[in-house]
Amino acid sequence: MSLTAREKVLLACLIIVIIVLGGVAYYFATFKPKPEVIELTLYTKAGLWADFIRKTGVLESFEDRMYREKGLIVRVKIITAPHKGYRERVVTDFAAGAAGDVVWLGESEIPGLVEAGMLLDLTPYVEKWEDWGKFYEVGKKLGSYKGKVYAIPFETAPLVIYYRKDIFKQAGLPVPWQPATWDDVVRAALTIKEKVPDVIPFRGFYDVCLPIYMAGGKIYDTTDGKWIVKSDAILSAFKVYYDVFYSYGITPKEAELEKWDNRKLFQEGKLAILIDGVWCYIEKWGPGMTYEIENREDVVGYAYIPGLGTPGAPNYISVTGTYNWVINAKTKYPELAWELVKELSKPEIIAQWGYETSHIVTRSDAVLGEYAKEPFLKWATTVLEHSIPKPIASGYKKYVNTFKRVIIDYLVAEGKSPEECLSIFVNEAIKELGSDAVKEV
Amino acid sequence: MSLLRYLKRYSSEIILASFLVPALVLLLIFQLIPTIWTIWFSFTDMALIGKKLIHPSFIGLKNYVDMLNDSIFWQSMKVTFEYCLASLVLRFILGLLAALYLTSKMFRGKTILAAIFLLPYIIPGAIHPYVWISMLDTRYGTLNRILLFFGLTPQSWVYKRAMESVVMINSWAGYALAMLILSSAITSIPKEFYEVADIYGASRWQKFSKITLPLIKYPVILSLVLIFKEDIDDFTYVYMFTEGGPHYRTELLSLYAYHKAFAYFELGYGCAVGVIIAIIVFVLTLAQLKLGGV
Repeated sequence: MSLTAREKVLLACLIIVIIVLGGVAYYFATFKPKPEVIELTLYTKAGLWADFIRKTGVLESFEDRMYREKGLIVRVKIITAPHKGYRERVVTDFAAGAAGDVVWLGESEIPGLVEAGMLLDLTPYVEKWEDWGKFYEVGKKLGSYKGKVYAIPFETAPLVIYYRKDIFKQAGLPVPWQPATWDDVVRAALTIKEKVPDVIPFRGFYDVCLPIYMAGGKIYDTTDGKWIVKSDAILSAFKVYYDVFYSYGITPKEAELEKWDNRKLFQEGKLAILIDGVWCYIEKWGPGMTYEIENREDVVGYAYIPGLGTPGAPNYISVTGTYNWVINAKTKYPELAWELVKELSKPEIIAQWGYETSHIVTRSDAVLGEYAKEPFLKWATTVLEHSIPKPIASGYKKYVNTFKRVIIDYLVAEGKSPEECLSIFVNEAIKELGSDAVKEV
Repeated sequence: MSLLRYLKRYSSEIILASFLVPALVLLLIFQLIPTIWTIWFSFTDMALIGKKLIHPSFIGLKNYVDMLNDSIFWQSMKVTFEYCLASLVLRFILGLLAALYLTSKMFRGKTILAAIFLLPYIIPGAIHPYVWISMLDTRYGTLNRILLFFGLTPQSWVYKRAMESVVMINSWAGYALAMLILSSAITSIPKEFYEVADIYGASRWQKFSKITLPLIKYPVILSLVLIFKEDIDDFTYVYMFTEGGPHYRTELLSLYAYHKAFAYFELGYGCAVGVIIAIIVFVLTLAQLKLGGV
């Protein structure tokens, strides 16, 4: 039977319709909805910090663990902000609601962000976490505010004295060297000033309030929440600065006023004694770093910072802060964010970061691997025994900036006496902080 | 008149106006609303951190009253006007000299030099301080080496001469604005005036002072207003080079507003300082529009 042209066309259309309908039926029969992908954001500094996280594969192992343990597809996206101005940027982003779920944060911003309701209270989480007992107390204190935990410390970095062994040998000074008091430091600096005159003997203090702690004083009273603006320790601190720049002249004024690069001068052998953070040993002077020092182990010595040697002064002292992982209170996934923080805070991750950047680990079981083999880091971990945490209170930046301004603009630039500087500091601090937030002891 | 008839009657105007809508929307979102927000915040004790972030209070004119008693605010105001005046003089003189050079018949290679003169103006402002840091370093900087070569005393550019340094950077970066305005004004002066002056044996200075200057009077005033307006809210150089130091000697008003808002997180107060800057710029803009005959 032969078909007409019209019948052929109808048959072809019918076949096409059957194929299409069959395909559609097959698609819907085998259709499975795509699993939901949960996106978490990790907010940290650009460059070294973000690169480290990417390099360790910690995010991938976290994502795998979430899939295996909870059947969840989680993707962690890194958001970065530049290192310069990071503090201002992270606070502004929190205020604007643009901060990530998990954020890299210094300890000084914790009180203000807690008061603004921006940080998740981690106390219920750490209470159930068996690893929490392995974290050092100084880090735990720095991450807590009003008795609650808001931050998991990832790194801490106390201050130490560095000295150039080659310059010390040239000046006839003993190597290794551990000054017992501040006078020993001054004596060594004066010897260098006499014997090696083309070298700057001393540069300090990185933390401008360090001489106050060296005198056994403090800047904040936790019992009444007031900033101490006048005390014997603060006067002693001004005297230390006056001695450094004027009485003994072991630091040229221009070095402070013109912000000479201390780490570069130390690398070039133009600076003999420097008080700086433990991170400089590897992050600044280590192999392949910005100011690499060849044969660093033979050239760079390190020692504890001594107290002033006055009544009430500690034998050795240092001050430390922390950088931490915090969780945004507005996160949609607090449990997942906590799991991410736990992953980031594993001892091997902290140890690797500590080794690569010479920051001190914040948990006792992180002294392992290359970190444990590095003599400087093993020694630097013991500095924590003498370290006091920076005060965690609103107004810390204003206090420190005011103190710094008085040192630079009045003491160093104009040569005002310690007593005059103390009086100026009291007035300036009251203006900045308010008269009801300060006290004298 | 019914709506349809109204639309029909004014259809061409409506179509023309609709082309303005996208620009107006952008202006509203990125200019007007933030401006209104800023003015509102300046009447509150809003902060970027702490309880005042979530519970700011309306405090009326308190921020402005506090400003009147704030010695650092007045120091910033004084520093800003000193900076603007010094930059104004330098930028104008350099711009005028460059404009005279470019419009003169005597010199060759003007096209290439015009491009070179414009370079600092078109390079992003954030790059300028990095260029100058190496020039102004006390121990190894190029400028001090030149001074030493001529037997002069090297200067502490970063500390003692901090204001002079930022004025220098700003003048180097910004003289091209005056150059562009003045060279275009000078070019529009009819050549016949100079030809007649040549016939009467006028000197170059006489031609400049009796012909050029009077005929470019309004462009000169306009360029002075524009330069001042540009400098009054300058921020980049002092932020990147001196951070307002030493001892607030380079703390321009814009930097002071930034420090208050983003370093001390006192957003309300920082906005109040910003409003003051805006008022000054607004007054200058009115002056500029009046001069332009708008």
